Amino acid sequence: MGVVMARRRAASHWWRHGLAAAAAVMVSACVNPAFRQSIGEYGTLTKAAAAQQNARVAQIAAAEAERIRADLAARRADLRLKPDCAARLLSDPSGGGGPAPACGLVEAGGKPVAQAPGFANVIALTAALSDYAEELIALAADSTEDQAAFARSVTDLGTAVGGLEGAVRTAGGGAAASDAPRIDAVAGLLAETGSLYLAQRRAAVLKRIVVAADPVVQAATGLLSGADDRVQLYYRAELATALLQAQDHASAVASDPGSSVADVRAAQDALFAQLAAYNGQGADTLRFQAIGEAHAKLAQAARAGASPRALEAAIAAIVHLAGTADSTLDALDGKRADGRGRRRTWQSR
Amino acid sequence: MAVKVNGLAAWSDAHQALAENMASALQLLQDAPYSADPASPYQQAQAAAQALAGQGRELAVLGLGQIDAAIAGGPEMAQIAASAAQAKREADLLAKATKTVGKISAAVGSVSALVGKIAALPLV
Repeated sequence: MGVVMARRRAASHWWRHGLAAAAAVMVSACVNPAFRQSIGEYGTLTKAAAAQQNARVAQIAAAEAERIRADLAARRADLRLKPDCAARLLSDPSGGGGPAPACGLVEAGGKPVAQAPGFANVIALTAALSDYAEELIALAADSTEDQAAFARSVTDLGTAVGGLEGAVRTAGGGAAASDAPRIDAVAGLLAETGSLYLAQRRAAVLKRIVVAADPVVQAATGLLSGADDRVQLYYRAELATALLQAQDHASAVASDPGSSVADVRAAQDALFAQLAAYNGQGADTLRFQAIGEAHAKLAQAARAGASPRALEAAIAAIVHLAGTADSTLDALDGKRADGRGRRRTWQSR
Repeated sequence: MAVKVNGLAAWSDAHQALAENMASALQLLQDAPYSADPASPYQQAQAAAQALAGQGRELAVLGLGQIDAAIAGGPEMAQIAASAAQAKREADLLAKATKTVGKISAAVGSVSALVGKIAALPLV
């Protein structure tokens, strides 16, 4: 009888071990670290692009404000207070009645003074996309430490339950717990399965969020790509002005019989330098169009269950996005100094 | 000539026209012999090209303003913020799941120690 019981206990023990091990294998099959890593990389690049774009838009806003002020001074504009300014004397800022209109200036005769653009909504949408990228990075972060903490907690739990069982038996006058090692073993497997479950859940959450957010990311990157085009045009137009001035100066010096070869050379060197600046404009810019395309590929990969083929397309899109801004990426990732490090990283995954 | 553009699609047309006009001005500039005379073809072509470059800057600022207005009137900002908030909630839930197991473990450990102490008490 005792032998039969022992066999049953052993069978139950191995059945539980087997079930836990099978569960671990099944869950681990669902976890694809390349998808999570791709999302993290995408988030990092998007944040870099957002920071770069917002800095440039703010520069344009400041340059335009300065241009307006310089123009007013150059024209010796005669500035006067708008009659609305009187309202601020009457309104109590803390009272009801709404805020008083801001006091403004006009030129003598009432001609409005040009307002400096702030582009606050472009900056806010870019910042919102950056926040989204930040949360993706957090979700895609290496969860090894979390998983280790979870596994430790479950193992401790197994030990604690074993200890509790022993304490209860002792308190009840029974024999010491004989199942403690078995509880420990099951807890160990449970910890492993649970850790894999956490990793799988993290990947599942990422997939769900990327798929759900893709339409709005496409809409936002469409708008920001348009802003990007305008930012590029602004800088190229400024550089075109400088380039034309340099060309005019070089032509004037070259056609002046009184100028030396050194003078001509200096003027032409300045022209070549402006030419390089004009051609180089935008080369270091992470483009929002590429950001939208990479997100679409990630969403496609997520819908396909992060299949190797879909992931390959997503990774290619992210590498393309990365390739649009070598200098930015070098700053983000020192390992990529030779331009081949990132490709090796992808292949190693 | 100030640039007048109504709408995002018209902006692209104006952008294209600007580039074409600049190409014409640069063609004139390439072929005209240098002259300091403001009435000369060279100086007129230079002035036209400079004006077009200035219009490019104006067109860029105008276009950024249009996009700014489109964003202000659209749902994208709120929707992106909602996606970011959802991602944060999920990240917090995952972190909480890990911590919960740790707390249960600590609680069971405490009970185990307490029961052990009670068991060790002499029976009255």
